[in-house]
Formats: sequence, C-alpha cells, structure tokens
Amino acid sequence: MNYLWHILVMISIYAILAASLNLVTGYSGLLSLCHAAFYGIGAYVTTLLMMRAGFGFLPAMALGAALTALISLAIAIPSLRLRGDYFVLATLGFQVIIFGVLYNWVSLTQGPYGIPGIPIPVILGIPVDTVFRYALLSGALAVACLVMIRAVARSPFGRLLRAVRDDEIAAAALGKNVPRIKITVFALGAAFAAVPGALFAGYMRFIDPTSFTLAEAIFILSIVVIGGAGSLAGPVLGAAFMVLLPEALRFLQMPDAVAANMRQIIYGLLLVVLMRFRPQGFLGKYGFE
Amino acid sequence: MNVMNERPALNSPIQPEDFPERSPLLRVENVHAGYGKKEVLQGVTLSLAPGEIVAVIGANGAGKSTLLKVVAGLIKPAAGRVIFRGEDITNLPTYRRARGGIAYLIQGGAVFPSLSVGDHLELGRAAARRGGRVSCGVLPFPALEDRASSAAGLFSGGQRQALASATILSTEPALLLADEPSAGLAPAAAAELLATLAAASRERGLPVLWVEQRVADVLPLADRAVLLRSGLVAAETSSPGDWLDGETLAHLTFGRGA
Ligand SMILES: Nc1ncnc2c1ncn2[C@@H]1O[C@H](COP(=O)(O)OP(=O)(O)OP(=O)(O)O)[C@@H](O)[C@H]1O
Ligand SMILES: [Mg+2]
Repeated sequence: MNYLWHILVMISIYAILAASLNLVTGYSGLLSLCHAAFYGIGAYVTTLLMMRAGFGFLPAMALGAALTALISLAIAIPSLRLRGDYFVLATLGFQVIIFGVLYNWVSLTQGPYGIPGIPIPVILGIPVDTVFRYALLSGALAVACLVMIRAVARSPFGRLLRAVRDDEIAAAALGKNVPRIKITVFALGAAFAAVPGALFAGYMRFIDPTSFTLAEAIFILSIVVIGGAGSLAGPVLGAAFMVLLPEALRFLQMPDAVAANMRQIIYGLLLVVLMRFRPQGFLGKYGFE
Repeated sequence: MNVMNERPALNSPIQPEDFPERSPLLRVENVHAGYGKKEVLQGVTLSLAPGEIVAVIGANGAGKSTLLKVVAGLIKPAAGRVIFRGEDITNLPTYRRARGGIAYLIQGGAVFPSLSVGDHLELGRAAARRGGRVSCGVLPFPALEDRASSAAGLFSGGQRQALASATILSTEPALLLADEPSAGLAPAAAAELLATLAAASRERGLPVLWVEQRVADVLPLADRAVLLRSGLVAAETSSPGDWLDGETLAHLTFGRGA
C-alpha cells in the first residue's frame, strides 16, 4: 500500500513542477531550462529555514517560495528583454550556475555531501510521519497549487499571457508592458516550483544538489510537452505518465541496469514520436512553433 | 527646411507654420530612422490635426511602414522628434504610447491566434480603461458577430483584418496609425473595410494616419495626402482628390528619384 502512496507523492511533486513551468512555457511561450534550479532553491531554503532558524514546514515553504521568486528576478530582469533563443540560453546558464552554487557553497549547503536529517513536517500539530500522511499533504498542496495556477490561467492576466505568447508587438500596441508581464509570470512560476522543492525535502529528509540538475530541468520540460503545453490538465496527466512509466518497466521484471537505460530510451522515443504526430502533447491545444 | 525645396511643385506643401492657431495633434519633425546602418527615413516632417484623416502613399519600400513604426515607438529615430499632444514622445516605449491613445494597426492585421473575438475586444477595452477612456462597445463589423467565441487562429485573412481593426477601435484611440488595413482583401471587402474605418473615424472624430496601397480607395476618404518617396515627403496636398487622375499618380509614385 505504501508503494501506491509513494507514487502519489511523486506524481504530486511533478504535477506542481510541470503546472508551474506550464504557466511560463505553455501559456506565455517562454522556454525555460532552469525550473529545476527553482525547485532546488525551494528545497534548500525550506530545509535551511527549518533546520537553522527553527521555522515550521509551511512557513518555511512560504518564505522559500517568496525567496525563490525574488532570486528568479535576477535572471528574468536582465534576460527577458533578450530575443527568445538568447533567453533560453540564459536560463540554461542560470540552471548550471545554481547547481554550481549548491555544490560549492559548502558552508551553507554542505555541497556534495548534502543535508541529512531534515525534520518531519508537522502540520497543525500532526507529524506527517507516514507515507500515507505524506501523500495526503502533497496531494492537498498539489490540488491547492493547481487550483491557483488554473485561476491565474483563466484570469485577465492569463489572457494577457496568451496574447504576449501569440504576438508581442501587437500586445505592446495594445498598451501592454510586455517585459513586465514576462518577468511577473516567470517569478510566479518560480514561486510555485519552490513548493514541490519543500515537499521533496520533507519527504526524502535528505537533499543534495544531484536532484536539481539540468537533466531534471529537461525532465520537467518533457512532462509539460508530453502532457500538453498551455492546457490545464496536461501537466497532471504528463506527470502521472512520466512517474508511472519506470514503475511499469519494473513490473516487466527488467534488471535494474537495463531498466534505467530503457527508461531513457523510452522517454526519448516518446518525445520524438509525439513531436512528429501530436506536437501539442496529449491534451494541449497549441504546439511549440 | 531645405528638404521642402526639393519637392516637386505639384502642390505647394502645407507647413504646420501655416496654421499657428490650429495646434497639431501629432507632429513628426525631421525624423531620420532606419534599420541598423540602413537609413530609410531621411528627414520626414509632417503633422496631423485633430480629427483629420491623412493618407500616406508611396511605392513599395518608400518607408511608409517605417514612418508608422517610428510614431508607434517600435523604431527609435536616429534624429528628429515625435510630438503628440504637445508632448515629446520620441523616447516613450510602445506600450506607453498605446496607453496614451496611439493605436497601431499593424501591416498584415495582427491578431492573437489563440484568443477568441471576445478576448480581443476585452483586451481592447482593458486598454481603454487603462488610458482613462471608455470603450463605446459597438463595433461595426458584422462579419465577426456570429464568431464571437472562435479562436482568431481559425479565421480567414479578411476576418483577421476585420478583427484587428475592431480590436484597435475598442481601445477608443486618440490617434489611429493604420498600415494597409485592406491588404490581401478582395476588392469589395477592401472597399468595405476602408469605408467602415473611415466612417468610424468620422463618427468619433478619430484622426488617422493612413498608409494605403489602394490609392484610389483611400484618397477620396482622406482630408490630406502625403506622398513618400525614398524616405522623404515628396509632396503633400490638402485636396487629395486632385491626385486621383492616373497621370499624376503615376508621376508621383514612379517619377524622378523613386
Ligand atoms: N525589419 C527590417 N529590417 C531591415 N530593413 C527593413 C525592415 N523593414 C523594412 N526595411 C527596409 O526599409 C525600407 C522601407 O520599408 P517600409 O516597410 O517602410 O516600406 P513601405 O513603404 O511600408 O513598403 P510596402 O508598401 O511594401 O509596405 C525598405 O527598403 C525595406 O527593405
Ligand atoms: Mg509597409
């Protein structure tokens, strides 16, 4: 049974990651390769606030989200004025830099050794100390985040995001401050990415930089693409699919070493096939142009 | 103003100085602008009075769109000034000009493919509110009425042009920059769109700086006309009808220095 709850925790984490990136990439058309950096910053800030400043899980997570949004401005403000392809490169650079910081700022992050012994989250006095309880916590947070993200997507601001994605010049000609809209949604996406970071840290009770690499950023992006960029349910379906796929391989009783490679091959094949036959993803309305 | 001396003497150019009592809404002063090293506009001066429709005509590549881009703020001029309601807006970004009421109908009719007609008009009304104006709501495009909820990406070229015009009008602009709103339309549809825009302009007293290839359609609708040639105002007239005879037009468009 615990196994199922574990799967639910992982799906929740990746659903929030994908939905928050979808806000940036799907709705606003900003291809970002640094979402794992925000995920990581959220995990580390929450952990450090809990362990060094005695914060509870939820306040630490909220502060972590705010700080992650603030840090995202450091990349967004200088690079969102650049043309699309330069922006992608800038986010890639940022992802690599953040990994480098997590890896090398040993006095703060304990670098490659990671941080063990992260306290169990306590919510309303109840310790979240079983996998079932953790599934409830992460499921509840996922639902809350998805509802908020959906509200943003359907709001007038969401309409602006799609307008900017479709035609920046026409949006500016309608009096929209395009750079500010992009910066805002980027920071919003970063803040939401901090939540699964906190969830991951509290669940694993150990974090190290290897969970927040460029490969992870690409993995999150693939979830968005596979589920359907710019759709509301796409990221959830994509997350479920990408989390369940390796589990399905395990049931085929493939040796672990083979399964790991198989998984990469299947992810890759899936992306290629999907881009060829259904570029908008499972549920998306609009493909990447 | 030695530029003026080089103009063909078909019609004596009108100088804003001739109308000191009528302060222009828009004034483009000796603007030099281009793309990178290439200078397209080589000292363009023109002005537009409140409520006035000014047709801008000229051959392909004469710099008509470039002129509108300078007024809309998409291109920063290398020299010269753009003055709107007495304020120097040369360095204002596009969105600030739009909030101030300068609406720009982009060549080719820019719409947002993933947004519905309703979304477009909502964006326009929001822009009007943002600029402290009230959108009158009624839009003179019957072609759009029964497609209110469909995405603009599914529209035909003519429907897109109509939607782009409707969106711009819903912002209740104080000045309309229209770049070939009829391009790509069948002659009947083009004439209808032009007439609709002109009527909307007359009703609201909305001044229009109007770039048009369909010279024979636009000149009768305009109060004044300006001919651009090789990045210069080659001629202007306050009785645009005079330019309608084919010979004058051919000379104006393809004559010396084109
Ligand atoms: N984005 C651009 N980059 C570089 N050069 C450009 C660009 N747009 C236009 N030009 C050049 O500027 C000159 C004037 O172009 P502009 O678009 O203003 O002409 P136009 O009068 O609007 O022509 P048309 O009737 O074909 O629309 C042309 O020689 C063109 O090659
Ligand atoms: Mg043009």
